[in-house]
Amino acid sequence: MRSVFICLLFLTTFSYGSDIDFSGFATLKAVKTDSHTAKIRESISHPHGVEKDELDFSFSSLGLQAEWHANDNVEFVGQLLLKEQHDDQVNNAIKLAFLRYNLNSNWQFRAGRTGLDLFLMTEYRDIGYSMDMEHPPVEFYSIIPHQNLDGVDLQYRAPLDQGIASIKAYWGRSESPIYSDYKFFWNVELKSILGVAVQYETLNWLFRANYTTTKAANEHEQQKQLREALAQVPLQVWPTKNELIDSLYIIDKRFTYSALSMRYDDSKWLVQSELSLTDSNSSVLNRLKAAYITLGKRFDLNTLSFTYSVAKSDNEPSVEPGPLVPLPELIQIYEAASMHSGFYQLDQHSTSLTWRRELSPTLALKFNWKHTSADHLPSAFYLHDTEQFSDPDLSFNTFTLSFNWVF
Amino acid sequence: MKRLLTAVFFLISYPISATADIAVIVNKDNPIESISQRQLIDMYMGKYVAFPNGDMAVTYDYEKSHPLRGPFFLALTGRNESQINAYWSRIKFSGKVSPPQSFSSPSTILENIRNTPNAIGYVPADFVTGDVKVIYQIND
Repeated sequence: MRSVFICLLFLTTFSYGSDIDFSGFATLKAVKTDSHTAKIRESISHPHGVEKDELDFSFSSLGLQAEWHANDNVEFVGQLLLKEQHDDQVNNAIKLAFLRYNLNSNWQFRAGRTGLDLFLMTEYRDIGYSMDMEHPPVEFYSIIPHQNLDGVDLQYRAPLDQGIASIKAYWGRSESPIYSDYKFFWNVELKSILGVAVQYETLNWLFRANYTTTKAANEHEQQKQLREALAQVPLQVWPTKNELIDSLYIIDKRFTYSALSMRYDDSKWLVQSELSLTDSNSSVLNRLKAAYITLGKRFDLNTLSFTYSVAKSDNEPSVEPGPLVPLPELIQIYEAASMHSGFYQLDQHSTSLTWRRELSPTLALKFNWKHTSADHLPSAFYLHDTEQFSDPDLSFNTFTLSFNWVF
Repeated sequence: MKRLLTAVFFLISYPISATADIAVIVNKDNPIESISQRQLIDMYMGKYVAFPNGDMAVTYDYEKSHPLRGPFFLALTGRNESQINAYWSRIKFSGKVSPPQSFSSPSTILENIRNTPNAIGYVPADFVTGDVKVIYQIND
């Protein structure tokens, strides 16, 4: 993918006389929380979480885009997103690098790195200026770290009496990092991603449905070591070890994602909602349900919006009961297995209020207050102050101030 | 050279009013005689960039903050320029559709439409010359 992007940059740089468009977006963001347990982040791919009494700017970002219009039908698009990340910085920074071919006004084909079209806001969730809410709801958007598809998509679009209907099919693979406590890092690879998105849109309304299926292509080295260690433990000492070994093997396990979305925007009122179900045939992830609704009202240059979001999984800790003999080595395996098998044990909701002020047609200021109630911590959504696990605060507030700019 | 001088003359002498009537124009050879508001919205919002006969269109717009851009989109969609920019930042930076090509003045749009059979653009109504075709008009 890196070479595709370099080719794209080469083409855009040296295509004299062609129509090249350079543009970008930037966000300067300050985050503060009162939680003494949860370190706040916007995605499980973020390596850093904001701690209590810390004023953090690490969610700031800069995006740069180049589009080369080879002719009326063929275009190349490349986009770099610069933000804090620890691993494989160039590859992760390339958000888009694809060729777009418009066969005619109805058919469009894309090949290369595109947005992974799971969510209503998939392809613009990093562009703060493009949305009224401060950021996409964490309960809905942060649990799937994969944002890009390395593959192809084909879209058919047709004008109807009142609006435009479209259907898009896509196929490819994707990889993205997951960070968790104790410096856990895993570059998760998904293969055989196959999805379809159906959409109907008028000036004010948008309805969308999505179904996507994929398989896990790799596993974390720690999972492999855990399985090997568990295999050595006698069944009499740990009666549920075989179920645990099975749950820790993730390669080729199938994951599915289904979602329904709607948006209404008549320039004064805004309503947006999404419902999703993420499931797998692995016990690591069982029926994760997530939803949110946003209601907004615009007053001249100001917009006030309210969002309620919720996430709940059916995951039960498959690690229980643990070893019957409390040997230190077994306890160590038990704790590591608990972290892996309980990663997607999620049950929380939050309410948030955002005030957005247009400072100019290309610059906006946003302030957000968010109150989160979690059923339990630790949670995959956050990093944690692990010394506070015995006394988690299950209800906390987060404040965010951001400037969003497009150019 | 004469066209260039004409363009420069317009650039210098034409005071673009934010309240002027706006004409949506196409190349004289374009078979389209008129277009509905909804079709125009679909084209300028990147939803379906084609003329009513299904032919692909090339849309021309003005650079951000040009005085004609805000009134045009407000009259067409009921949305102010900030909302339009937010909308287009969703479409453009997601790589779904290319935004309209942007120009700095009505005279350059007029010039390009004369030379591009499948182009569509908008200019102040009293800017229109006989070598382009008006297919929609937004009255002040």
